[in-house]
Amino acid sequence: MAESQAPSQQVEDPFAGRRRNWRVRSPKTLVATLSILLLFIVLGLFGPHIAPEDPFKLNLVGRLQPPFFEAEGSLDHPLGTDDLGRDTLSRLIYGARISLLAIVMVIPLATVIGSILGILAGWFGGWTSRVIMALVDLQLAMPAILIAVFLRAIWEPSLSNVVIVLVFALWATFARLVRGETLGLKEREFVLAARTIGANDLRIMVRHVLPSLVNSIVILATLNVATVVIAEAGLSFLGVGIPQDSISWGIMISQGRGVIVTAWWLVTVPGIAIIVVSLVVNLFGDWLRDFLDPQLRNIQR
Amino acid sequence: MAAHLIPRLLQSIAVVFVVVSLVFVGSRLIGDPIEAYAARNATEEAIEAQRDRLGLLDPMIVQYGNFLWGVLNLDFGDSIFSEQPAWDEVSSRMWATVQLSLAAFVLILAVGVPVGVLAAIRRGSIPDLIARLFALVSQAMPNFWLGLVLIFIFAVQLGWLPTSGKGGFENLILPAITLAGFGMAATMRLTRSGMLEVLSNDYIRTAQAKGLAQRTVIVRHALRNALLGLVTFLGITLAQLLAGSIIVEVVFAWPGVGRLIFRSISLRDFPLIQVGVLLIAVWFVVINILVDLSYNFLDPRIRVGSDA
Repeated sequence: MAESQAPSQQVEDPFAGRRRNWRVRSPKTLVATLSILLLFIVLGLFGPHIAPEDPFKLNLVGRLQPPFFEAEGSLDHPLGTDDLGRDTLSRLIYGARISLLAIVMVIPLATVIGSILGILAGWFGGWTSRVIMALVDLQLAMPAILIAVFLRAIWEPSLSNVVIVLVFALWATFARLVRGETLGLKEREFVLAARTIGANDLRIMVRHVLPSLVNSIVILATLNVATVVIAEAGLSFLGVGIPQDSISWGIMISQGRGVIVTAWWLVTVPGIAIIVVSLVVNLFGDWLRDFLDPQLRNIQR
Repeated sequence: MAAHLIPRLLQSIAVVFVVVSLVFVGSRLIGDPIEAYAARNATEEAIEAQRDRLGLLDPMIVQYGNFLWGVLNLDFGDSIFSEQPAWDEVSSRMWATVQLSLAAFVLILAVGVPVGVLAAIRRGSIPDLIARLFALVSQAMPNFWLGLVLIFIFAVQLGWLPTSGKGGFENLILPAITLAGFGMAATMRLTRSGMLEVLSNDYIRTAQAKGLAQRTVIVRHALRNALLGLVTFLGITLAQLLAGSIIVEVVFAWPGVGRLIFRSISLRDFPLIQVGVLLIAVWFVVINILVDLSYNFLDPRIRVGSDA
């Protein structure tokens, strides 16, 4: 599926009339995208030094203060406080760390596991392929959320549960893509040539096939980052992710849920943070895809 | 075609079998259900008697054998919590989940495809821009958050729709939109790019040149081919809707299978977990087969079962 036809950017539009071409992606959006990404990474890495307040500090007198732009709000708590008087902005900044940690742990693991299995399936075919593709089917038939709930029932909640669940949920897309591309590469002249001069399987896979796959793998990895951010939040929201007393955007939403009628910002603010991060990562992924290889437009999340 | 279908079916049955076995192992790993239920002052003997009644004292292999035999007879034992047959408990909630998933799927098709087509034929226009921005945001939005925001706006503030639970049609609207959000956006994007690709083909120019109405060209010549690339994706989407519905059912207190499984796992209600997960696995497998078959209808060139 990855081998697609000509990229749409160069396609002549038969229905073209008078029109101005409105684009979502422009150099300006790219700069904005990269800046927000950088901000997210900085907040994730140095959050505790940046956050204006201790995110665990209770202040029962200053409970449920609205954000600064509302009448009762103040700049002491620019994004308001929650029902225990904790500063929303500081909690938001601390929350970036969990999202970043989840990305940094899940994406490389899922990418490496999925790619190795995919290349093995594509290269050796036969039973190797059948077994690995059966595992892919199996993964798709077992919703990640159920695995998370099982793990939650066996172990105490922790980030490693989240990582296991998400790696389990994501490796299969890599395996599928890499297997498909390996099948195509196997018949190419340079691979046949390597075989003719006596290179063994491992050497051909690592030195000849893998380099041709790197672009697609990197693109797919980027496009999966948003999935990790959203899924971590979802698991934590349901109480099957990280411990409830730590700070994650998903946990903030779940805690704000009870007071949504009186304090709309407690649900809204972390949600917008998730959307913004996912959005810029996706935009960056789209841009990277066009940049690295326009042929791969069909790689989907 | 039957010759292609049989290995496919066998493979599917194998997948279901492995899922069922994993669920059996998993549900034993999560701990002893009796401890979760026994009254605090229950005697040791009473607890043992309960374990015996549920067959928890048998060797694992016997429990597994009994379990598999039960699966073949659709007899999964009684729910430990409600003491009703597990199959009845789950199947009575299946309809609610299917209803929700199908409603979401209809929304995905009814919104995603037409908007995608429109965006493609008016590429670069303002409606196209709006559609694409909308899709970008929808794909970045966690569905449980969308659900909460919709509840806040339409149920709490405006009071137009109920906040949660199941009842008439109006109860279905918000959960269905929530569940459909991501799929709508993805379908719209895929339809758009598929249409753009198809529209650049020579046969579209030919169709236009021989004076066919634009409508005919778009629907009969372009859309039909663009849809072909969408089928796999729509199949996966439909399968994932069932999994996605778990979190949506929790947010909206929708009385479906997802919420039941979610609750059963924390209550360690093995029989219910097993039936629920089995149903989800079967649903997925059936959809996969339907997707393969649908290629035949849409594109006679593709043979089902050809090893691609």
